Amino acid sequence: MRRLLAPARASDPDLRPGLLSIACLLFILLPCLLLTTSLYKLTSLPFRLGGGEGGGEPEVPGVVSGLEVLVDPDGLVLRAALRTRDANAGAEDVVWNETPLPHRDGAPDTVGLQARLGALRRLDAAWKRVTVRPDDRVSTDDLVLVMDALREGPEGVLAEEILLGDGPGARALVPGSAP
Amino acid sequence: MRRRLVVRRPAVLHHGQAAYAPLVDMLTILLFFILKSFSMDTPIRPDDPTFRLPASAGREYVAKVTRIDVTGDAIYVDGERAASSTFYLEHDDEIVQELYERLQGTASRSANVRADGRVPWRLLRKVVYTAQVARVETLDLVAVSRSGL
Repeated sequence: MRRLLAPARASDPDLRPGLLSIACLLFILLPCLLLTTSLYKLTSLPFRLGGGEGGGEPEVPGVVSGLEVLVDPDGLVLRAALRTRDANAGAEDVVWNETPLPHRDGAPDTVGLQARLGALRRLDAAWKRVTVRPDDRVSTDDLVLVMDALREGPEGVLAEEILLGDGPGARALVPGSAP
Repeated sequence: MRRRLVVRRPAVLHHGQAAYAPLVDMLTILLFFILKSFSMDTPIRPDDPTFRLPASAGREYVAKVTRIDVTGDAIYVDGERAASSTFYLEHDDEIVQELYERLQGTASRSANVRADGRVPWRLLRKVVYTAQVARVETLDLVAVSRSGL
């Protein structure tokens, strides 16, 4: 049945003036932003100065008692202090597990480091702190690379707190005494 | 000759309208991209073209606090030269005395360490240790974010 009172077909509204005004606004905004923006975007990496070798306050009780990353010009060594599951063992009874990670293509093997830390995270989700112990010769570039890798991995946040300690054999830097 | 019963009417093309929509889309995408990577940070040590900060994937905001710049040549506090890097690289002093004195004179208890990417930890640790001995409570290492333009 044919409708007697069919509404009159409205002609399509012309969207061009609206789109043109948006385009004009964007054409003004974009050069202004491009002129004021800087190619340089800085970011900050928070850290604390840690104690000597094997130092630092104990973490919350868990399987992983402490984590250290030794950085030297040839590679990384991940040291994990794991609490023994012996029924007679005390809270301080830990076994240090060392994983050497040689450089890959002349740079620290951050992928391997993140994979190991991811495995430790699955073993114990409670640990938050990692102590980085760079050798005297390690550059700031490599140090930042390792700190970046420790903060976040492909599976999410790894270390919430990064302590910078002294490399193996270096004198412990424990703040407190004025010169 | 057989006449076609259904004659297809030519579509009315609004060429102007068709061209505006993708243009606005493209400009909007550009605007979001620029806003996301927008930064007003000025280059560090523009007088020293060899100075290069390490690159980081971090996105944390850099607070306006005391700046300690460590280059291969010197250590600066808020842009003013405080000590020689070469001297402290060669000597075994754990405290950078000049830096300690300068930091004692500042009210801020926070500092940003902006070290050249090639500076070795041997020098950087002395700077960081000196800052902590001078009662600087919060220390951040500044790097160039990879999320920038």
